[in-house]
Amino acid sequence: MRSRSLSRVVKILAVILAFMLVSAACSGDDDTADGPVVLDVLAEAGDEATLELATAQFTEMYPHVSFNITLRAFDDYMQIAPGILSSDDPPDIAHGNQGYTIDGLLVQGGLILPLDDYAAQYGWVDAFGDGTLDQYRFTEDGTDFGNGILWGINGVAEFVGVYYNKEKLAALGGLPATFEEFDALLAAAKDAGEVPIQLGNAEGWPALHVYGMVEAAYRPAAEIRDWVFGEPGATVVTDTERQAAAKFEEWRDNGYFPEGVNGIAYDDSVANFIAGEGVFMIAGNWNTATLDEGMGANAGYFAMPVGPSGIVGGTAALALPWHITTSAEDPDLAAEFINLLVSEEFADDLASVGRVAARSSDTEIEGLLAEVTAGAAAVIADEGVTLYADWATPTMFDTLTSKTQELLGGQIDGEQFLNDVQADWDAANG
Amino acid sequence: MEQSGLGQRPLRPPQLSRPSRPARPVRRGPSGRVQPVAYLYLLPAFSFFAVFAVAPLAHAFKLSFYEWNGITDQVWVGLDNYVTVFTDPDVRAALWNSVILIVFYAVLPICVALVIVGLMARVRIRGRTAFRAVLFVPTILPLTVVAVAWRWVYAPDGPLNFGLDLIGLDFVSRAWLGDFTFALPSMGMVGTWVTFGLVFVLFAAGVQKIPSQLYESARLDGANMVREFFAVTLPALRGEITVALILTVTAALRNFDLVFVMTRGGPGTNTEVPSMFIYRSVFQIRSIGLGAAIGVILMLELLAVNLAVLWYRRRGDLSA
Amino acid sequence: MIESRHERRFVHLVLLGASMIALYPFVSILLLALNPPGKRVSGFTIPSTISFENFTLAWQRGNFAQALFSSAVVAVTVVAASVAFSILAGYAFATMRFPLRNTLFVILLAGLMLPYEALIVPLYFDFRSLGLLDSRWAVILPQIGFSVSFGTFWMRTAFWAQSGGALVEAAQLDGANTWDILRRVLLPVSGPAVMSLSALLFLFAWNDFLLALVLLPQNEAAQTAPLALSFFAGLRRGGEPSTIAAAALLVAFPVLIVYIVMQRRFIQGITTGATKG
Repeated sequence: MRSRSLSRVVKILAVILAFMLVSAACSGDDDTADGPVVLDVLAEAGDEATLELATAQFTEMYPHVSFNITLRAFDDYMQIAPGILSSDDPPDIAHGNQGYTIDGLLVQGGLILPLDDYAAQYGWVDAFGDGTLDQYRFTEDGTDFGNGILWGINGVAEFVGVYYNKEKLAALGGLPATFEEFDALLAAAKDAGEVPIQLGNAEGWPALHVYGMVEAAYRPAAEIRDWVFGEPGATVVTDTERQAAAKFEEWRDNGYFPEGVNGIAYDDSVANFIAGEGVFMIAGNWNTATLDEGMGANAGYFAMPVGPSGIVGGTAALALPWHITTSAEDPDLAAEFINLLVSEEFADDLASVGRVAARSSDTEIEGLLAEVTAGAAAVIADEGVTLYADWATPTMFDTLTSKTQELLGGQIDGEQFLNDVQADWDAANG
Repeated sequence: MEQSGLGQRPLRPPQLSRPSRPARPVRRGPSGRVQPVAYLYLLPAFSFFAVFAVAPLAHAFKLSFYEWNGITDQVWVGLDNYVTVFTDPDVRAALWNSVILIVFYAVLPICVALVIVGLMARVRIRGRTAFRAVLFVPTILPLTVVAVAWRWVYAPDGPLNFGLDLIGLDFVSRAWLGDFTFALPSMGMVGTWVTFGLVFVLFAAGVQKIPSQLYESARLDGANMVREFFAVTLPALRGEITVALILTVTAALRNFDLVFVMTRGGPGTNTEVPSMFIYRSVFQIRSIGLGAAIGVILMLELLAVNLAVLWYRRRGDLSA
Repeated sequence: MIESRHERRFVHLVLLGASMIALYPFVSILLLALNPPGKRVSGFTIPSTISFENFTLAWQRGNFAQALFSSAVVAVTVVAASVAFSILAGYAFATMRFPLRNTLFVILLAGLMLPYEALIVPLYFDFRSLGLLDSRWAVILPQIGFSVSFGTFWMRTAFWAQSGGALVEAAQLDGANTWDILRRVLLPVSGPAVMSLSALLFLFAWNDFLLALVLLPQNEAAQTAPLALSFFAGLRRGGEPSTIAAAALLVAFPVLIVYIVMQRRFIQGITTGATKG
């Protein structure tokens, strides 16, 4: 009896095994259909809504094209993207990230296509202005950032600025005209028992955006750009950089950030701000749609007002570049889609999902997005764009994420923070 | 539980780790003629083992001598990666953290389980199997699920802080996983929570095999609870403790899932562990040789710890 | 037994307390998940209205139908293959004499101590060059490779307990060949050992995260449940804790069900398997 039931179990196991082996074998990719074209897109999750709009429009123009979109949150994305692009089944179109950490590697590995011909064909360089696209350039060997061939493009302008809670700010005073006034408002907010600056730094990079704004208030933007691009003669630590670090440290010591800031996830901090915790939130303009939805007319935005550096500056750049991979089946079609994403016509659609188009658009925008756009215009007018510090070396993202946490956690002071950043920069720039 | 009253033996630690099996010659293993057909039976298992365990190990070893970003050409750098493992403060921090985690994964649960099992040895437990089944649950859950659950428990507005505030300990509450002092111990406590069930189940089974006469005679000798524990329970559980040590120390050194989902090694490098570093070396820092070298070191570390435990056990056996 | 009533009560209270600690984190995400999505909850809040909407949301957005199926395919394949291979190898080690027997066994045994975290780097690049990344094979094959060590060790112990017995000798005297002895004599009485081994290997295979994370980076169709959970928790990190909690429960349920059904097997497996040999 027992033996019979067991041998049955063994038989069933064998059948299941055979079945599973077969089904596992069929589990590879399933998009090899011919005839209709499938564009494989690998993207950072923040562009979900953008891609929904763009793919719908593109499919309308080219009915035979459909899309297979894979999305990953920023942190996951940066970890897996190069591996996926160098695998034997890369997507046709993928996000990269400016600088050595991702784009440099993709160029060195010959994984993405140069876009100069498409840029000429579609007139991208004229549309975006000379110099703006430098952040997508690398020399052919992928060793010199900011020069040479254009490898990617994105039409969205990502500016870090100051969101504020209108009710709370009204109780403390008016809009600050200078960085000093802003600093004074923080003190006033603290005295009033508010959280002056909402921030969640569990990921390590959100605080970098806050630091970047302080940095730009003290140090000329051109100098900051130079060290990010690794230009000859540039360096991280200067007197003005030290002043910025000292100010940031002072904010930390004064308790201007929420308690347990390193344990709060970025998304949670945004939710907290919406829920009324915090007078200001220094964050990227990609939060506009979320804040608009959550706070309505109570949310405001301004560019960090002018500080000792004398200009309105701040952490800003174009968004993560769209790349065409070297194994894209139809690069021209991929380029056509990317052109849709960066086109003037699509700028309105970008506004509808709360993104700021880098190309000027004639359409009226209102509400929070109008303030965000005005803030970006102020920075551009002063040539105050400072790019992102984490682009500077292959390991800089890693260094900065852990160092900002240590700085905010009181493990190191501003001076040590700068020394650690300088050490990373020196190691890469000889 | 029910031991027959027959065959009373003098008080001495029984051989518990060896459950009775059918009598057979002292030299274990088959005798008789050589059967070459055995290799046929071994073939499937060994081919998978060779291709997917031994070969990658050799490959890891080879990679550890190169500098490589995973995309461009590999450059031979000799022992450079190993030098980095032992000099880079971040890597050393990761190795050191894994040692600290042994306290939480192995030492703490073993001590707690011993105390509880020591208490249990003296009384008849109602619902023993139910308790055992419940306490074992944390061990079987996917660690990713465990991490999500505990991330919530430790969240700034999560149950732990809520509870602390409720009983007036609001000055204790904090963002546990973002705190430079508490992130690693908080993570460690999750490890304790996970491994405790396993350790407890092992010990509970061991204690059940202790003949109750041993306790009775100990008590007749006037042993109190504590003496009884050290005279009877602890020696009887030596085998189980060895196994528990090996399993939990391995879990501590290999910890990846919890770190990845809960902290990604932060704040700073506070909860960085070797396996997380291996992952980052491939996907973030892109220094493949360094990752391979850390892997080799991790393997040697595990091997050393396991062999030490086994060696100590064997020595103990001989002296007993 | 000599036992005071106080002592009994105390011990039971300790066990009860430990059980509550063991269950609490799980219960807390269950309570969290039963809230309506988007509601900001904190602390011990018990939901005022029970809503299963988080589960539907997680199910739809996190691709969990696909992920659970994928995990099932992976786990069942790994278990079936590993158990089969382990039975064969364990049988040979337990009953046959052949040159290099002890050496081979020690080599296989060393696999028990091999952390596959150390192998993940080469596996990733090997599979990348073989074009196996992102297929279920990428996690199935190594898992079989790692499981046969444990399985062979396990089955050897199980067969050992039988092979000295009269049944095997009788069969040998009857002139039965090795295959018949395994199939007709040993396997039928080794059911419990096989089931325990299957249960344990199922658990290992289902819960694996690192292999899936590294070797299935992109193909959503092949992603296993723990991996889908991690990506989901990352994608919606913090934003909607109640939906993430629901997703975690979806991933835990199959394991819990298997555990509840086979609870005794698991625990017996752990206790006997761990202390033998």
